Amino acid sequence: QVLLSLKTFSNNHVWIGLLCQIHTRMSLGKKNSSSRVENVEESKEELSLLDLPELTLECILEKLPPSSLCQMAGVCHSLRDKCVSDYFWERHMKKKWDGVIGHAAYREWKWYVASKREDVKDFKHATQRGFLMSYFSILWPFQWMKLKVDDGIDSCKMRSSLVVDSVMKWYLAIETGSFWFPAQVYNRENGHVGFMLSCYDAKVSYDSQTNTFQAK
Amino acid sequence: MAEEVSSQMNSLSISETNPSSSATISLVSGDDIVFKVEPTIAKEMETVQSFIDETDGKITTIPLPNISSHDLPYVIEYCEKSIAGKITKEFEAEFVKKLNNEEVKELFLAANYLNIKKLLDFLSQVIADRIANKSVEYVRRYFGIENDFTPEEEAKLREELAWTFTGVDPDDEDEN
Repeated sequence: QVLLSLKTFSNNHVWIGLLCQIHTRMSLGKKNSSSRVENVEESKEELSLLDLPELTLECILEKLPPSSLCQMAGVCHSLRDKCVSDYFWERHMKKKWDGVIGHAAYREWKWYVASKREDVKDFKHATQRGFLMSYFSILWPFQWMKLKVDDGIDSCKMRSSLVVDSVMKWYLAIETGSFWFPAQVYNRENGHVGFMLSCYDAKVSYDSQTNTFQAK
Repeated sequence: MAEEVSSQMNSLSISETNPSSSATISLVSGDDIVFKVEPTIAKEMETVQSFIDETDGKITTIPLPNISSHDLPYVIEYCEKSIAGKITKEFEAEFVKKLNNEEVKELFLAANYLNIKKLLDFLSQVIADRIANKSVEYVRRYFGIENDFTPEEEAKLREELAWTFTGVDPDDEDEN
């Protein structure tokens, strides 16, 4: 234990001290069960990933493929908060899409995200207005109902566990093909004068099953 | 403290017969087994080395209460290979083949405690490989994590992350 306290004070790597402290706590939990009597689980000597210091945990998480990172997000609250972090997803984004996704696609995404946000505001505003209207006018009950329904759907979205404007959401939108982005499609046509190259603007979405794009 | 030399020491070819033992560092595991190692090995362990530095090398017996005599030889073996520049893909594959899940976790903690960057990096990859494409339930069991989501939250997550719930490997129950 002397070693530990010494390190905590004098090492310039502040976090090493932190690691040691955490370890001391963990090993105490293991050896001296009376200190952790209230928690029966602890006596099983099982490592909980969540006891690991942040940086060490990141060592593992940053090595997981995107699908596993998503799985980890489903393990518990604390891991979900970590796994949706832009830090991990920017790496995946760069690795898989850096050469493909350019500014135009990113702008399109930003616009999409912004429009979602606008929708949220609009609906809220509209519901209040609609609420008043229902008092003043019975001629428009349907409109009021419609707005009510929209708001219901929207509040579900707002409670979503993922932040709309996160890199993870961006990655998933591309990966699942739900996001169509602008691109130029080059076609090599086998015409009667030999090969011809044609080019047109289109919206494309990714199909992860076949690793190809669809254009429309 | 009873000075005992583990039988594993021989296989690790650590110089227990070395007469100039003043230079060797004694690492004492949590269960009071002494492992004598060359100073170069200690250098690989940042936590140990900085302790030696702080005491100007006067103290050469270092207690490692968090590391068992079961795990320490693995750590030493890895450090020896590392110094010799013999960390190859083959060595790592062999090394990890000997370890069950529990041992991997314990070694990971040991590497973390001793602050051995290379070993930490290697083991985090091993853990990542072992939990990649496994179900949420498997990961919870593996790490001893309680599910603290409400059924509603869990259903919502599954819906949002639907694509990742396809292609999950079946859980192998016989993991250690």
